[in-house]
Amino acid sequence: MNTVLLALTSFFQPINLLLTFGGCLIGMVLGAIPGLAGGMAITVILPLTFTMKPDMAMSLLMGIYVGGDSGGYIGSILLGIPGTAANVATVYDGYEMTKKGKVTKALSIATVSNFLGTLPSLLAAMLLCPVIASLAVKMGPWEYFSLAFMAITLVVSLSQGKMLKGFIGAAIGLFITQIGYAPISATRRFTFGSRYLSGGFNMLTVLIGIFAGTMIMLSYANRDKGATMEFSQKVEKFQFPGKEIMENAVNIVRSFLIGLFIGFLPGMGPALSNVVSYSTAKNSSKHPEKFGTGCADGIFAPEVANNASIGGAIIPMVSLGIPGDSTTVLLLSALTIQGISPGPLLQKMQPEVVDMIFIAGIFSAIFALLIQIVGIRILPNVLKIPYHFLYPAILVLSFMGVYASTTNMFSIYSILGFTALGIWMTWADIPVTPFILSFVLGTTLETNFRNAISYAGGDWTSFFRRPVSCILLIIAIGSVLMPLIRKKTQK
Amino acid sequence: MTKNRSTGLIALVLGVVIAVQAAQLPPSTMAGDIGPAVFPFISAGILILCGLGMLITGGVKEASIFTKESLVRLAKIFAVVLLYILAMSYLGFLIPTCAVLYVLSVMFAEEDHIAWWKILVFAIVLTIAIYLLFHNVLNLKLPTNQLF
Repeated sequence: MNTVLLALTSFFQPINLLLTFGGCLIGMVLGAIPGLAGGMAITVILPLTFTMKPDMAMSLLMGIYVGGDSGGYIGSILLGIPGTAANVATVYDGYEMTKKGKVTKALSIATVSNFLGTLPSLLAAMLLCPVIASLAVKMGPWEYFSLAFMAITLVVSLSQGKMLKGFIGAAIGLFITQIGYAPISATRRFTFGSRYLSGGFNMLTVLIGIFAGTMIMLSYANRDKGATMEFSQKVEKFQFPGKEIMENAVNIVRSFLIGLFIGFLPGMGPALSNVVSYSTAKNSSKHPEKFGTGCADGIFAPEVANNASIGGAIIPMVSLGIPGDSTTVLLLSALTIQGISPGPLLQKMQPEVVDMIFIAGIFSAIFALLIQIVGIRILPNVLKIPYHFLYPAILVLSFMGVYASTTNMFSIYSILGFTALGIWMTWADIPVTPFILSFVLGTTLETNFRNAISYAGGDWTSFFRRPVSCILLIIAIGSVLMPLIRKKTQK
Repeated sequence: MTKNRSTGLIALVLGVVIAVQAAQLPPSTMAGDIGPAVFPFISAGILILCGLGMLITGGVKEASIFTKESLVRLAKIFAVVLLYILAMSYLGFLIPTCAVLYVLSVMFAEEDHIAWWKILVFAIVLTIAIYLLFHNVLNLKLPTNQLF
């Protein structure tokens, strides 16, 4: 408890509150624009945090992270075009409600749903993280390897019908981490004598090429200019949906639990939880025929679940140092730049830093609620931001962010290389999440694998002799085999 | 060749290249360590196996996400960004950034008929804003002029 107070006192400085608020606003604006996923806001803002003190950087980053996951419903409700993949299911009832002239009600419900998802999920994460971290400190390299391995195979197994491509993506990601000095033996690998390559590729370089570069170039190539269309409905003042909340109490709790759990699983986050929660709500409703016609239940379910995934996704990132999706990967790399390396040791050595992350998150949730209530009539204008100014600005800002962190032009050329890789992967239909996850976890995998074998005196079976490691590996292998078996039996 | 077969072929070739390179790595400097070549071999193995798998199963023709027109557009924007980076290596941040912001905005705006001076104002204002923010406020490095 002491550490919470400590974190609170360091958080409660005007500058931190201001940064959290500002981050929240920027995250919300960029998250609301269709085509810009929540993570994009972090990439654009990242250079600002380089020279900040860690507590300031954490305030800003958590604001952006929470805000970015909160703005996506605006496009779903007003235009029927989801801001991010996390708001796909919100379209079904949110847009229908708008068509019926009840746009203000739809926005109000979504606003409250966001808060009901985010705040409790962060509190849950705050309680669960120390528990998981205290279990995790007992883990040896065997368990760590198996855990990271399981995270990657789970994500690969999600690439339905194209598992081979999922594995190719993962293998390329793994290969990229091998460029530069090898862990443990410090051998130079695949550097071709270049001094730039000896340190390996900077994480930001890869992420910005794969996400920002690829997105901007493909949207130009395919004339995909998003949704800068006009909407005719007038938005009124916020209406507190008290009656709807009472009617949907069960739905809200269930959606929350679904969101929290799915967020916790690697690779699945809000993009999946909103859809699962919507269909669960529909299937267990007394009036399923009303879904899809503009009912409140259909807005509560996806919007509570996608925000509950925030807390869920933060748990493995903070307590194990293993991020589950691309947004938390970006958040993790941003924290690493600050010299904060999330994982069980952070929880043990600097619990006040971990609490600071959560407190900044909790205040972001409160700010997000306030911004959405006060700005309910102004926020929809975000959808009118023209892409012809936005995309060039994002490109230049993200390039300069990489330059500021590496101070060499080689990294900028590398971004272009990874953009090309991203475009090729999109063309070949190779899923990007297995690539990103194995790129982020590659060094963890290798270091722990080699340490484990060397501690066990060269015994490769040691991974299966330790119960926790064995269970994780069985889940990993099972996750890959299950879809194949199911496919066979269905035939 | 179908899209999946060519993807498989690329994966296969990449896998073989990695394996050949990995085979030349020296053994570990640490006693009891399995050495730096094992993980590259694993990546190579996965690529070779999956590449072969796709070569065998990838016979079905699939629609491409690109048309001839979109490929030309892709090449165009790629060339613009490459030129921008090249120019920045020599001329530093200010001039190339202002130019690329103008060119990219015109490219993205296309049929929207935005007045040229609006785009020019945007390019100049944003370039100066980024410069002041990075250079003066945040004390971060920006590419510098190498020529004069």
